[in-house]
Amino acid sequence: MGFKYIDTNRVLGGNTVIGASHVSLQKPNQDSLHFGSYTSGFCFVAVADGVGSCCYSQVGSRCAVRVIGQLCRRGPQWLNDESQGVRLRNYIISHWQRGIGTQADLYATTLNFVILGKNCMWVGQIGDGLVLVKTRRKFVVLEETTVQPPYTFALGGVGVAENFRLCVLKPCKQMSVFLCSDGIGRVLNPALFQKFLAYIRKLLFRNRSKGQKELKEWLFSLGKYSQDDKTFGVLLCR
Amino acid sequence: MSLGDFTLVQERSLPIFLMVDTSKSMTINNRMGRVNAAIQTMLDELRNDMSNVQENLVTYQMGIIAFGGGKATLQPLQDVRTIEFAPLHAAGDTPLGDALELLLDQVKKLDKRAYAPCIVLLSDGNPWIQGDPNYFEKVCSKLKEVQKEKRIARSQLFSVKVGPVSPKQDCFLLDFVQKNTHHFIDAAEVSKIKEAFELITLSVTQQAATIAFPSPKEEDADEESIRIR
Repeated sequence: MGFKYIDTNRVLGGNTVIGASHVSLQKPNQDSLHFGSYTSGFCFVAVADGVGSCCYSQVGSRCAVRVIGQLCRRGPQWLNDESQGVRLRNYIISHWQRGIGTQADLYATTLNFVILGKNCMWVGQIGDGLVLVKTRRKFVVLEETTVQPPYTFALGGVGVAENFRLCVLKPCKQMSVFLCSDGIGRVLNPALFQKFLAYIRKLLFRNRSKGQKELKEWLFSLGKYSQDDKTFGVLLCR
Repeated sequence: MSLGDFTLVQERSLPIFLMVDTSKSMTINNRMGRVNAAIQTMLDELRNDMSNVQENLVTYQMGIIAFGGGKATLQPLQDVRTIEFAPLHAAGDTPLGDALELLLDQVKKLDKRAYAPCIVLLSDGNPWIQGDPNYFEKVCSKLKEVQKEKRIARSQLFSVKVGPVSPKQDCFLLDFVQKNTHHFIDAAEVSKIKEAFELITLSVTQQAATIAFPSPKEEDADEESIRIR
């Protein structure tokens, strides 16, 4: 994992760390992170958190982030049309299910993503996690507040339709997006979300190597709050 | 400043609302006494569930809405660790409409950081008030109004049937849980009241084990802020 500077004004990337509980149980990191920028004109960051109780959730989470990656690589025209929300939802769910097969519940995972195109920026969340988006005029928070398993089950056999939050924004020159699994989201101070985004911008644009190191150390330090796997992704433009 | 300054570890409440029928019929077979004992046990179990408090930062809050006699009464939402449960007494009519009104009011007042609540309706008969033959229909329409509330729509709902109720009331209790038969608990025999509460307690503690995170505060007023749940 790491960060990719597309040019001096755009950076995307992130990091992931396995939780202590999974280390002690000899389980793999069930979170997945994927990011990229393609010649199709789309770039994306996706974070997925496999549902702990499902035996193949790490496969499900990997498949979920790859669905976003493959879509951006293909870069269909409709993805630049802000009226195509339903199509995007259907694409993600059907392609994930196609990759997984019939026993979807064994692979259940959440998915948080951002897709940036020429005309629109799609921000989506299935299941829990946290997504913060700051543009010049808007500040968007995507979050899940229920504690009901049928709802926090994201991409799985149940609860997809009820729990797929999707919004579309106009891209602008100055934007910050932060996505993370709930292992991080629940320990972030909600009163400081905007300042947190501003601080991450400062870290990754002003002093790249020092900033990346600080982010990595911070991610490891969160282990004292939560034993869950922790993953975050960022997409910053200036 | 460092990234560590943006972390905040604080507990978040999981509200539980118990709507308990305290009409006169609850005195039959000591139903009221058994319900009181079951509530007390539930409180004790929740107090002892420290793993969720420590690991998942969840605190349980309980509010009790008793409907019996002339109107519904509320024991406000309180942390289960500090709550002192006063046993309920049965008398009079079944003003369930009042209770639904109180519930709606309480859910609207919930802290923004609270989880979606768990709501339990326990009843042993049709809602009725002396001198109002259309009361049941009024309560049914009130229920539809209550279920439209966003937070209630995402809540975990349980209904407990106590005693042999009429088919009409059976239907009402099923409507309350939106036809989810797994959350409709039949405790027609009084001995099953305790089991019903045990099941609800287990369900609540299991849910608290699925962790979430704090929701944000209102953002600055000079920019458009969107929060999607």
